[in-house]
Amino acid sequence: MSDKELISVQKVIVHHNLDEQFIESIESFQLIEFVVKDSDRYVYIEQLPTLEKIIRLYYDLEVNMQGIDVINNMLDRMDAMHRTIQQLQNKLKLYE
Amino acid sequence: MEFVDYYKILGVDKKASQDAIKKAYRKLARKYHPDTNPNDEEAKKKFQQINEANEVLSNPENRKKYDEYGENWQHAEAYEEVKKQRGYQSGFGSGGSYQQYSSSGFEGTDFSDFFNAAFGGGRTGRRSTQFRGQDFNASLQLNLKDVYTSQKQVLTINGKKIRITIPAGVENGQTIKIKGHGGEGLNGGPKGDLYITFEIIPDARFKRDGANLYTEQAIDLYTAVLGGEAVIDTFVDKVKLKVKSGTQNGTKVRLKGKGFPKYKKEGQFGDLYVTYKVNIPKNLTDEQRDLFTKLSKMK
Repeated sequence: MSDKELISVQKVIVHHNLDEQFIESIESFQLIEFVVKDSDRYVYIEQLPTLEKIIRLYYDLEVNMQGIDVINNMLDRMDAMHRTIQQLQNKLKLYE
Repeated sequence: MEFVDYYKILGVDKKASQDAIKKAYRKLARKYHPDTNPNDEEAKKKFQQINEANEVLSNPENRKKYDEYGENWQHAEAYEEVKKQRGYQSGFGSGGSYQQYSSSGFEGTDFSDFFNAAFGGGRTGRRSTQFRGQDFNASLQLNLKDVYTSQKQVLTINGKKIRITIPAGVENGQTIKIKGHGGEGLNGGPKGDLYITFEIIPDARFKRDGANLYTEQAIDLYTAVLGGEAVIDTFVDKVKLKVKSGTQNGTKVRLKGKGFPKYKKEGQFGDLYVTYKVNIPKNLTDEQRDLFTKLSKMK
């Protein structure tokens, strides 16, 4: 993974006006994978939308980290179920 | 333009305290927020209504104007004018705060006509909460042959031209996300995404299950009984197959790698399953009939 694909967590903190504690909570709940280089924390650019979603859920909707973890897991399951339904629908067409 | 009952939307009483309004808004926002309801148009609409109701009711000045004029909100400005002429002190100033709403730069397109007319199509600037823009959904109808190879297409979505690459092997009902091509964010929030769902028109000759294709091939009775060769149409070309003697009607053969490209797995293909349909001769000549009769007596 090249440095171009990483963004400094400090930049994200400044941009969204976050506190360090929030980032540490995300890390402890393993909601996002951070990369540590020269004692600085970075996040993969592809993970930024997920991080921003967590920020919105936490600050706008006042969902705590446990809740965000549950929401993420349920959304993943919903997504998997949606894909299964679609595959089954496509399979059913074979018998139409 | 329909009157919008913001109290009803938030499910609160007209005498509800600011705290009760805030609580009701938070509860409903959690339920209908686009982040917790991806690709749900109904939830998105509901969330916009909730936001709009909160914009009005959580702001005392807006709420006062809304409460005062209710269904007669259309005549609010006229009433104000009359009041001013009569020397009344207006409850919400002579348009100063109205200017604030419309000067916030927010595009009011996500709000109801009612909100735009009554409150100038803008939000108050006091909220710093950023919301991601609306996700757009579009569907694209394609033939099976269109998705056999990757192809670039230019789509026009909401008046904007978007160049996309449709990867080979995309499936019916599959949705791809084009990041940042959705609606504008609120209060400086990020743009939404564009979701394109593919609708693959069923092919007359080939049925598809994932990367595997299914087709039927007619063979005559004599080839089925004695064995021989059959030329099979695959999706892109023709192949010659040996037909074993004694092949039964409905026999299925698999042509490895002659199916559909696997999605995002370059160079990998599914299989083609061919089901033989044995054609029974119909209009027999006298000679053929004699021969079949002879055969039947040899059983």
